[in-house]
Amino acid sequence: MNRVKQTMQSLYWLVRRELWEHKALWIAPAVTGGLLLVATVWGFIAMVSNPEAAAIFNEQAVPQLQQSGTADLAHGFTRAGMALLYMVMLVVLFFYCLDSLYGERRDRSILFWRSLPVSDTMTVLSKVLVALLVAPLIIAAVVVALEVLDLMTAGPIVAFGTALTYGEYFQPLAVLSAITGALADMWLLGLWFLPYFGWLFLISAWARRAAFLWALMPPLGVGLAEYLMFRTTGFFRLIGEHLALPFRGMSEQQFGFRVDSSGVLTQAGAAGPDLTGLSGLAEPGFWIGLSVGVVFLATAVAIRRYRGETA
Amino acid sequence: MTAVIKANGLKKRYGRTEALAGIDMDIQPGSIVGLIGPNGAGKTSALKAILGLTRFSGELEVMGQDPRVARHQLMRDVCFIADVAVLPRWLKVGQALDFVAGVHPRFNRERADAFLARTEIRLDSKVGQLSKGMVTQLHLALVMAIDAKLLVLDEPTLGLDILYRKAFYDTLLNDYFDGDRTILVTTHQVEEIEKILTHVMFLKAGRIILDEAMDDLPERYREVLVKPDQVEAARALNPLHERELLGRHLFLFEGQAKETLAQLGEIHHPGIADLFVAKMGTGRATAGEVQS
Repeated sequence: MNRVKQTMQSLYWLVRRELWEHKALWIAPAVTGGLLLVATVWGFIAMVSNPEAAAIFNEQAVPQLQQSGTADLAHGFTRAGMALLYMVMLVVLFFYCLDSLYGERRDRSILFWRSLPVSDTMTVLSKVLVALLVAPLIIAAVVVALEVLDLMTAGPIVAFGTALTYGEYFQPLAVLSAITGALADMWLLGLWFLPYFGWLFLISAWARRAAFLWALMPPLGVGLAEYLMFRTTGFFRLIGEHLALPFRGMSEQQFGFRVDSSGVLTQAGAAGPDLTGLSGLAEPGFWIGLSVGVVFLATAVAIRRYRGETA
Repeated sequence: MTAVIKANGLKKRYGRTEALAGIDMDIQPGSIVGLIGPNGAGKTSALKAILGLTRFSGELEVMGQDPRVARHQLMRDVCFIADVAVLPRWLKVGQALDFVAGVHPRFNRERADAFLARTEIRLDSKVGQLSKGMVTQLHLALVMAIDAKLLVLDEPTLGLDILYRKAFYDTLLNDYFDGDRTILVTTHQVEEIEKILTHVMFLKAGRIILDEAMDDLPERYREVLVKPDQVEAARALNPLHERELLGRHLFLFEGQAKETLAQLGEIHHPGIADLFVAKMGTGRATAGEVQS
């Protein structure tokens, strides 16, 4: 078998391995999505079973919806739902990254994984791919399943109980465009957040114990030391601004205003549908963060190379 | 033939302690080598160096490659079992097979399946649900299905009951070893592997103090149950070790002619455990360890 094919095949199985071990990666978004669906269906049932509420909906909401287009609404709801799932996923990913190179040393399974012809670079790469590429795909898959279930449950309830027709409720193309758009945004956000992911992987590879504390204490310590010595908060502001940077485009494009660095609200131009937009790539902060993230990851690989099991 | 493992002045330090004080090794293909030493003698350090799991100084070549540079390429030809229970508890048996089949170009799935079919291990069990002995069987099944040239075993049967231990070595010898492959094994249970070894090495405080082919041992080392009136004569011959057994004296000699020793008493071939005790020369603590 040629080398490229074997490498790709190994990478595929390494990613599968991650999903076997870290079931929270798909259980957490699936459960959150399920709750969203249940809440939606429950809300619609409550509305159609109450004649007054249904009447108000029919009189006030339906004409407006029919006018502005239910497609936009479906698009917006899908984007909002995916944003929520992404928040949940970020929490899962925090613990995933922190455990990824630490857990295998704690349970000594690193001795098994490293007895196989897989390089440390490949192993770390597979875990980064899971965090950056696969996790958003899981969210997208969950949302596709939710949309199908939604069209089978909430759709008929609305169609039978209100003046809105099923045809108006049925907006798969708008939902699909929202899903692909959100997917691209989540992938891009992953690259924005690479320095944070990289830091967690680095600590995960390095810490002999208490990886959680090691991940949080140094940044907190740096910020606190700066404050105690200079009474300034430059480090925290730097992190905060970098974290918020990708969303600046969102407020600008989604809501038509932007907040500049001095905190002044200014009106901006036309509102677009993009969450972050590729325009963020013009920011130097993006590229600096990306380089820092890559350095962290390279260090994590180098550490795993000679780190045995913990204590 | 080119050596499978060739070490020259291999050294390893952990801070101030010297785990390996410059060892030499020359392990040829087709041999089954036992690396024996008390705890802390440097066995695991030596194996880790060979497997590219740790830094070291000195020269070391495994299958002609430097394990520091080429660990993952090396793992195509080298398998290792680092004592029991390094398979993660969350892994299912079927997943373990799928994964190794996916990443290892020399893995033969049918062979592993056939081996597992002879055990009570079910494919949908998790490793955490298996007994220690079964986990070892599973690991052995994975390793035996890999067409590797060198197999490294670090205390592979530690903590297993005698039935599993015996089955482990029987399987290894009957189903795996084919005369071309090389096996390097460390263990405390010397008696169990004594009969399968072709070579034996003793490691003491980071140094190799014995490196012999098993076939040469009887010629070189003899144990004599000395008659009471010959004890002084025996001591004059510079024995390696002396111990009392039920009021009689047992002496172990290195390199003494058979004829000379025959006059002192009954000659035996010492077991590896006896030889180990004599060579270590530190009394009972070490002897207890070796037989544990």
